[in-house]
Amino acid sequence: MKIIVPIKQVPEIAEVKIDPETKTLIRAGVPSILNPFDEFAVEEAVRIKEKFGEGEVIIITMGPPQAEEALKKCLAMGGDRAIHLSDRAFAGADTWATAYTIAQAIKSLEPFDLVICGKQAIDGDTAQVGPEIAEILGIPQITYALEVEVAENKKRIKVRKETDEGFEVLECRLPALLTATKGLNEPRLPSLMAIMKASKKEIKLVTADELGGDHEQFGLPGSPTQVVEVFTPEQRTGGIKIDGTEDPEGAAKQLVEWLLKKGAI
Amino acid sequence: MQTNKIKAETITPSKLSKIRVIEGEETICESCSDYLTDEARFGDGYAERIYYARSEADVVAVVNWANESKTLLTISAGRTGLTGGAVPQGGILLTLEQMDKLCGMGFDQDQNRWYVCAEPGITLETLNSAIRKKQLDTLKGKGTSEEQAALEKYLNESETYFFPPDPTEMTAHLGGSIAANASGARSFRYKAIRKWTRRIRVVLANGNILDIPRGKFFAEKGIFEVYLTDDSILEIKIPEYSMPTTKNAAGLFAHAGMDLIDLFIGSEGILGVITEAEVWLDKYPERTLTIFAFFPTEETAINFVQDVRSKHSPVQPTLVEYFDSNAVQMLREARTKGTGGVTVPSQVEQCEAIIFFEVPFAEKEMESVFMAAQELLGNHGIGMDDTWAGIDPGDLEKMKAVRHLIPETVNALIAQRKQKYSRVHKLGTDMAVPDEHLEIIIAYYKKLLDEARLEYIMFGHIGDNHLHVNILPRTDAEVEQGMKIYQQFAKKAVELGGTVSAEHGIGKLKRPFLRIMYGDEGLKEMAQVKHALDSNWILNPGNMIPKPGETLESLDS
Repeated sequence: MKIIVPIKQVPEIAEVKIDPETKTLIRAGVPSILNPFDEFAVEEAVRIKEKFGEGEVIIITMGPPQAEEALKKCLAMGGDRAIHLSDRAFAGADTWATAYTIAQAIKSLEPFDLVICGKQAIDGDTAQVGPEIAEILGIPQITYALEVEVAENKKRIKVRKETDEGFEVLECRLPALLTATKGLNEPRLPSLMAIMKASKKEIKLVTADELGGDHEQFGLPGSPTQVVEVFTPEQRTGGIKIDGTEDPEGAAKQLVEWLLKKGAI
Repeated sequence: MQTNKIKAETITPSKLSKIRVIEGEETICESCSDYLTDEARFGDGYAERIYYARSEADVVAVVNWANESKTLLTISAGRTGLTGGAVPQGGILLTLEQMDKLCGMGFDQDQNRWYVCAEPGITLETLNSAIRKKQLDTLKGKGTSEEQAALEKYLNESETYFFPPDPTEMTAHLGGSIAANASGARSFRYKAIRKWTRRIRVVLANGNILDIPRGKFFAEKGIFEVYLTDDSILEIKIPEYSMPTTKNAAGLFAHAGMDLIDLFIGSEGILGVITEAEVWLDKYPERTLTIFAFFPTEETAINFVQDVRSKHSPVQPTLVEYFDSNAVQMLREARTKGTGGVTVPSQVEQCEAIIFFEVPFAEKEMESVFMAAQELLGNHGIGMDDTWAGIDPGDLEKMKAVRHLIPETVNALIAQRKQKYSRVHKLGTDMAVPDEHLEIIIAYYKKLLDEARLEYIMFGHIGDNHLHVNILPRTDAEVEQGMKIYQQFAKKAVELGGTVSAEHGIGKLKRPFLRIMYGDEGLKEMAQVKHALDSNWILNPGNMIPKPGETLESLDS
């Protein structure tokens, strides 16, 4: 099986601060890590490969040169090789341009069986890139995967997914795209051996020219959305507290009056 | 020219009335209670005034007033201590937190090393961040032309530098850390802060100031002579006890022919107030490899330690830490019960002991460092797959979280037990012995604790033979039992040529143990040094040695 895992390098969340003047993330001096949800994706891909005893796990990222660190980490977790999309032309991409760029790289790897993404990156928290890649590639998608079972004939997949209300079990044909959420598995911790081996695995650097596709869809020019402002929402005020221990009937009346006044009922 | 004679200087003190002060025991207790305790939550502190010094001249003014009125004065830094050293017992509290500026950059030609000068109230975190990121704008245009040139050269350096002493709590202040001779896990390689201190300025109890560079003032025949500005001469006689050779011994530093600067480093503020310090910097390692190695027995783990820390070891770690079988059991239980998001490696299910060590390396040496680590582990039956290795910042964070899980679990357990037995508290040791006695002291700890059927875990700085034994009493009676064993441990450590406090210092809490180490005579010699420099006993009273009037016997309680 050929399994592709797109990943992202993100700032370590515990240390991120917002510049009060420019309202942007202060990235200087903040250590970068592999997006934690992507760890579940990589782990699942490697487990599927190990289960079948054959196949290839290919890691893809789009990002600046230092994103190579995150790729190395994935290779130490068992990825076989990596593709690093790095070019100034990719800079400033929103979720759509990012998904478009990554999808071009995935297309170049056709035929493939499965794409596994983390459900979202902890810096942007949009959860859009995975589903957008599936749309661009025209393949089925199952998001928030908690349990994955690939059929013996490697043609179909059965996934238990998380929903707001509970769980759903879905089945679809391959190739398909999954997004992984916490609880899917316990990502392995790299051993000395794994890091050693990873240092010898291939990381292929790909520029915009080498990637092909419609260059106008890359980076900032290819981004239909723009961040206008980042701000901390004002703290909500209001709300009332009605104590019903003394006079429950009176309290209930008070509540109904208040809700009426607010137009809620 | 080396000499044992040092000339004190004076400066014009500030007007006392211009210095920010909070007055009134009650007000302080209500609104400034943070100043009355430390990390150990040593709790019965009180003070009549808190002064906020902003300059050396402020310090001199406050010290002068305290000395003239014979008022006790406790110096307050980051309050990250664990022995109550910064906790006032009445009188004045002098906080140096607003003296937190960098003063200058320099290059030491003789040592071929960079150094930085700073005020005492700067935190180690701020200092390190400025140095590493070269964010030194506040120094531009300040100091001598030489210092400016050094700064310019430093800013253009391609290498990254740092100040290595890391006592875990990076909110510790520079001055407090020097006064405590702070160490920490990485002192396995870097040693305690003493080794990194190039020069200090100290305000003495009479308001005179000593500017002490390293390598200039040495004791002659066990004596230093301080020429005060009123033309009198103070004679300081160096104590004659011999100090343990462990990473950091508690008590006043004493050595025939010693450097005067060393007397003040680690003196816990009883001899003077540090108002400025120069400290050396070191190259910051390009990369760091951290390895958790899982051993089938404690014995194999300890054997590995002997190898990895030897001079001939192919890897030279910055720290070597240990989890004994009880600590591993604690991790195993945490894994089952849930760890609040901390990743506990699955290997804890099968192992009995964990060693983790950290090896700095340059990118180009990666392969050779890994091969060396592989060989060393292999010699002790540990395969490359029996490890958790981290070079990625994400993994290093996860590893840190596992290390912190142990003390956090201990604290939670103790808090729970305390609800039933009010006197229950953690009994944590801080003893260290010389290298050759590592196995002996571990066997001794285990024997006594197992015989007494006490619950305990052992973990910490095994590279320096400095294990923290945490006794976890289940009842009030076990607290009593544990205290007695603690005393026996202290005696044994001293008997083996070790120290009773390798990193936490003595402060107010551990004074009885200092007596075990140096005896009545040793304490008396320290008191003589104190008396020579501070005849009214105003500075940090109650730290390290008993105050006049306090009997040594009363310390045994």
